[in-house]
Amino acid sequence: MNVFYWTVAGTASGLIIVGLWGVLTRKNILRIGLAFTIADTGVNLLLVWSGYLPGRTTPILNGDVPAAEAVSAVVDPLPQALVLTSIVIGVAVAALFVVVAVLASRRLGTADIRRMKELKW
Amino acid sequence: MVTALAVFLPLLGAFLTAWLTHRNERLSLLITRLFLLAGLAAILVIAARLGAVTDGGLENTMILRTGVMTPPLSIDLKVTGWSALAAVVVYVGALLGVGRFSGRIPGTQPLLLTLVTTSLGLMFATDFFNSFVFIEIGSIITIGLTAAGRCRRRWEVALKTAMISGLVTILYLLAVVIVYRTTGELRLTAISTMTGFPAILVSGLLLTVIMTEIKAFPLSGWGLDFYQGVDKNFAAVYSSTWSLAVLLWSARMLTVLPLPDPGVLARIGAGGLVLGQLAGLRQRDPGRMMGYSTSAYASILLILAGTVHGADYLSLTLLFFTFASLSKTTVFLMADPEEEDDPWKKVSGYVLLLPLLCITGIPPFPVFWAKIRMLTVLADISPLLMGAVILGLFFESVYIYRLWSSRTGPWQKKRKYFDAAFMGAALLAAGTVWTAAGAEQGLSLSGELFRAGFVRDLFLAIFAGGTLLSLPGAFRGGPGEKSPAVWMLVSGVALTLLPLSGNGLTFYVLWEISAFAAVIGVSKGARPSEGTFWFAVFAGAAGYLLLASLVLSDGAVSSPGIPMLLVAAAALLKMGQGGAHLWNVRAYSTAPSTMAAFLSGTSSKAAVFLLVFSASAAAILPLGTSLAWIGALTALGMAAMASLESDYKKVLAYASVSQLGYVIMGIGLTSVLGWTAAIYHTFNHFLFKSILFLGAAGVIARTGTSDYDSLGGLVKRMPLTFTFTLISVIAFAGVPPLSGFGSKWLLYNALVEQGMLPLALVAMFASVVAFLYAFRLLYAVFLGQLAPRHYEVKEAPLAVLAPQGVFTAVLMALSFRPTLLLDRLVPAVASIAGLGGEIPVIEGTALSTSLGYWDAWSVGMMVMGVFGFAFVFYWISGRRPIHVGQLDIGFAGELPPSPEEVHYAGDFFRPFRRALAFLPEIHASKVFGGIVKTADLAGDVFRSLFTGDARTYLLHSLIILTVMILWMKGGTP
Amino acid sequence: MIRTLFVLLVLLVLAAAATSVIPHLKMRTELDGAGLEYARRGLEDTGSINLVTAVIVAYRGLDTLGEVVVLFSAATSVMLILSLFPLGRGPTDPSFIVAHTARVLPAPIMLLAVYFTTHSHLSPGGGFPGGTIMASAFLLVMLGSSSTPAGSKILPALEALSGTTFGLLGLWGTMTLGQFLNNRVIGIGNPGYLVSAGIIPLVSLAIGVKVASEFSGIFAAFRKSGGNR
Repeated sequence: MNVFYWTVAGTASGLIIVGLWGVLTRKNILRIGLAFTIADTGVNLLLVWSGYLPGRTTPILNGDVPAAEAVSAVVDPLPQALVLTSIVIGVAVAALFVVVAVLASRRLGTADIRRMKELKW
Repeated sequence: MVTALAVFLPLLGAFLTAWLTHRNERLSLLITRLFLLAGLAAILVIAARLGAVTDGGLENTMILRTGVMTPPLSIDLKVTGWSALAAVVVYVGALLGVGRFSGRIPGTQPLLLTLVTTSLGLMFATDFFNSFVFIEIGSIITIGLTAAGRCRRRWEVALKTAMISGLVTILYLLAVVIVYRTTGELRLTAISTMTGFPAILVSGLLLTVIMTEIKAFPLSGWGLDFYQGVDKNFAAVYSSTWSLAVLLWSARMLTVLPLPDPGVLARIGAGGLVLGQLAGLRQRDPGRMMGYSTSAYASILLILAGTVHGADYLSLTLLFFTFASLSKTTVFLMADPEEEDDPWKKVSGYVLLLPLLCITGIPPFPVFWAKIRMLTVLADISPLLMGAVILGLFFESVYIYRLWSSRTGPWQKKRKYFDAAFMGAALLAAGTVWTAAGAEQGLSLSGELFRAGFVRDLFLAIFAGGTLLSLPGAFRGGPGEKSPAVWMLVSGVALTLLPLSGNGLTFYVLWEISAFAAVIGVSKGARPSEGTFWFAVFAGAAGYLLLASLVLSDGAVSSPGIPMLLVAAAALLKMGQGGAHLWNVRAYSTAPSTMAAFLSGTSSKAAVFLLVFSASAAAILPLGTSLAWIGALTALGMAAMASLESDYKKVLAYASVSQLGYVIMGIGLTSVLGWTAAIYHTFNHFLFKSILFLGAAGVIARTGTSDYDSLGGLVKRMPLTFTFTLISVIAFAGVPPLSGFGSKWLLYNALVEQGMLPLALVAMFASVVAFLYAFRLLYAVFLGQLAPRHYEVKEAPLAVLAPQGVFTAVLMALSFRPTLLLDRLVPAVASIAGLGGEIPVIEGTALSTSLGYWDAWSVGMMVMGVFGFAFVFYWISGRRPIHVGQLDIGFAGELPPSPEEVHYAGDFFRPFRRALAFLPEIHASKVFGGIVKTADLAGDVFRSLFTGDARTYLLHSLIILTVMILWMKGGTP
Repeated sequence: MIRTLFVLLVLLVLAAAATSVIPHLKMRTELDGAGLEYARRGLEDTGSINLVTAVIVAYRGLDTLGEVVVLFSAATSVMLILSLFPLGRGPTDPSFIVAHTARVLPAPIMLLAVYFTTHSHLSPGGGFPGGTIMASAFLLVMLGSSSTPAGSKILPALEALSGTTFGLLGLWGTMTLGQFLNNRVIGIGNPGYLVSAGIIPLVSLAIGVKVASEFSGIFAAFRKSGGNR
């Protein structure tokens, strides 16, 4: 189980690094937006991962999991709640980012971020 | 319940207006205002219940429970007196800005209302993840409203903001994972219990997030771009709502960070303040200046978090950030977003001044009280740190003054008085009065800071008399000028109270009020920007030096050692000595003439007062010789400059600085004779410089010019002005029988007595040069031929003539009876501890030292006799002058050269100018130009960090994060 | 190129520096901290057998309100920006398949969505997934017609209503129990039944409608702005 645990963590970290790398090196603003969602996915994965306990089930106390045994039978419910919020926030930000990026590239005639630095110094 | 309403009412309003907006625009705006007002009322009730405005009320707490059970299972919102007051500001800022912003861009009300709830939520948040949610809402709304705003560069700004918030999201969530996994909960307070490497990692992540969000240098790049490019009306709302909320949240976060050494925050902050503000020095775009100022306040937060604790931390952060936010809102409200290139083009300078002075923290504005307390704390920790902070604050004030000094336009009638911008300014004024009333117990106008006695009373007389006598002429400005009377009065009253101050703080407050009222007075001139700016910068520099000294010497104005050095530097700057004359020349020549008279005659004496009283003579002693040399060289150099200058007011400015050089020389001698000479000369200078400048005011008022080349022959039209000017010229040239001779005689005595012969030689040579410009002044303005366009010129107005008469009467009395003053002055000076040398003896009308004696009465009579004899001889000789008109010149058919060449006073001292050709090479303006250029170049190095590429800004954040983690990791095994 | 390498270097150094945290994040074998408490007393406190929902709607309801507000802000922003700066291309006629699917599928999708939303305290689901599914039904309807569907007119009203409901449900808790968004303002009933867990189903419903109307609003805004080719 340990291998699985660290594989997930490694994947998540890899996604974050790849995402950040994309954000920092891509020139097209839409791709930058995409890179952000990749990194976001990595972070969300890491959030879920942090609530993982080996061999346990979902935190729903129906017939399979009696309430009395909940403590030793279910995974941590909090990270799952957090990741929901985080995903929704990610979606909202991504939607807004896309709208701004599309409109920006249309109005400015370019999607190249290197040409969007009229404001500097 | 009230708490819940205060927080969530705007949100309900947002849901409602989102539905209403496209149906009924006006109703929607009305509802927005109503919800905001209701929320404001609720938060005011809370603030009152918490007793937020009373002592200790900042720490009182009210909890808003949410969910089921208690934290760490559920989430609390905690309202303290501290955050309740900030929440009031949030509501006020939103109310001020909503009309401007949403009135112009329909459909923004729901977002604006949500932003208010979010700001409050963030300020009250006690949960780590909950804060994250609020931060995200705030970022989304900021992006949305930026993109919806009316500004050409909206897309660029919105994208940069979006990218920054994207990075913040990632870093923050990583911190969430680590915090939850290591502490098992998500309360903010849990973070502080962390240890080991997770603590370091979380500190690094959060510090990066905080520095990016509050725009602390070097992570301020996006913030600068934001303030420069964003819709200015949105910036107005943003400053007091979201920006303030993030600052206050960060203020709380910084205290729970599990840093190995919190002191490191202060160093990051101080370094960022100096370097970031250095980068801002060259800034000319007002919006970007506000961005740089924001970054200064962000650095201040880091400094505070690293050094101040407990109740002090709360009150300081509150004072700093609420007033800075409200000031910024007011500044932005004054902008007109439709003017894309310069939104502040039409703004009235005097209305703009109030928020700007608030931002720079000049007393008595609220930020000042916070600033001085912060500096006091810093001084105890590390004077070097304090010095860095003061330097950074000074840099900030430089570009802020530039912003104002280039826009000192008239009051705008077009705008209504109930305009949001005016209301913002009014609120600031009210806040100023309120905080000043609270801080007032620290001030005192009775005490023994300055030894009561004759010398103090003499300065009192100078300040009060000078103000009263300069004032009549100030009510009407000269050609193209506005009346500086009000500001002269303010400055004068503060100046008059100066000798009565009971402690250092009072002294400093009065000093700054006097200086900045004078700056405003100067700005009333015909072409003010240049002189006003430099005056403000030098006054600011002098003020900061004084402040540093004050803080270092625990409430006295100064103490021996470094503080004394700082005070001496401040005094030298104020008197334009040692190259600082740059401001005198620029300010005097562009200021209204009566204001120049006040500055040169009366206000400059404050610096002498400071030197004479701030420290014991023993403290000055180590600086003595240097001071004396600075004074001597200034006296000589400025006299030379005055001789070569051909602008009436500039000549007087150079002359004024030159004469004050003698005073510095005398003080530098630290002997009874030297100080007697210095104070005596100070009084003389007060008299004759006031006469000269008031005379110039009369001449300029009547002729409309201050150019030597177009003046001349005015003796026939303005005989009284001429007489007064003649008398004062004789006095300051140091020619017997008038009083200037007396002070110089004393000074030479003192120099010889102290064995400083080289100095004496320089001083004497300077006197000779003084004679050159004195003569030229008389000749160019009053003698020679009258220009045809001045045939109809009348005598100067009574308002400047009468004061001249009074000054002249005193001058004459003093000239023939110097013992009237010296009788009391000599014993008073002799009683000052630490002054060496002999004490001059007064017998009857004569003053004697070991080197000789001076009897003003008999010398005067003798000189009068000689002159009388010559005059009688001339009169009976029967020769009469031939009158020649100015146009009565023949050219024998040749083309006449340029008018300046023909004018008899044109390039009057050409031979001297040629002989001294090397002097302009060490011209002070070049030296200062060099300093400014060096600072600019250094600033450019840091400015170049802000390439405008959003990816670079993200990279900065990541580099800072990496460096911090490695650094802290190195600190703890 | 240099930039790319430099970025890579910074990221690698950062990652390498952060690896020291690995020993502190070892796999847990037992619940601890807040998670333990939720598992131990979640059912008792909230009456919701779905502990995740208990956390989302009851314990940390404020986060969820914030989450709704996030969506609300983003949707309002998108709609505002798109109305100010139209994309400028009108919708085209739907294809045969889409047009016909759009007549059949929305009803079952809606049913699923309602189930997800109302049963959040009993089984996996909740306001967010449910609302998103509702929005997908709306999206399908919209894609299946060449004009903006009639339903989009009531979207703002639904949005305002659901948002206000959520807020007022929260204030109800403050008024009665002194705790904003407390789900026990009405009895928690018999856990495991549909009508139980206090106001959790109601809040979920409000969230669902809110989320659905936000997403639908975004779609409609794109549509109106001409984003659909």
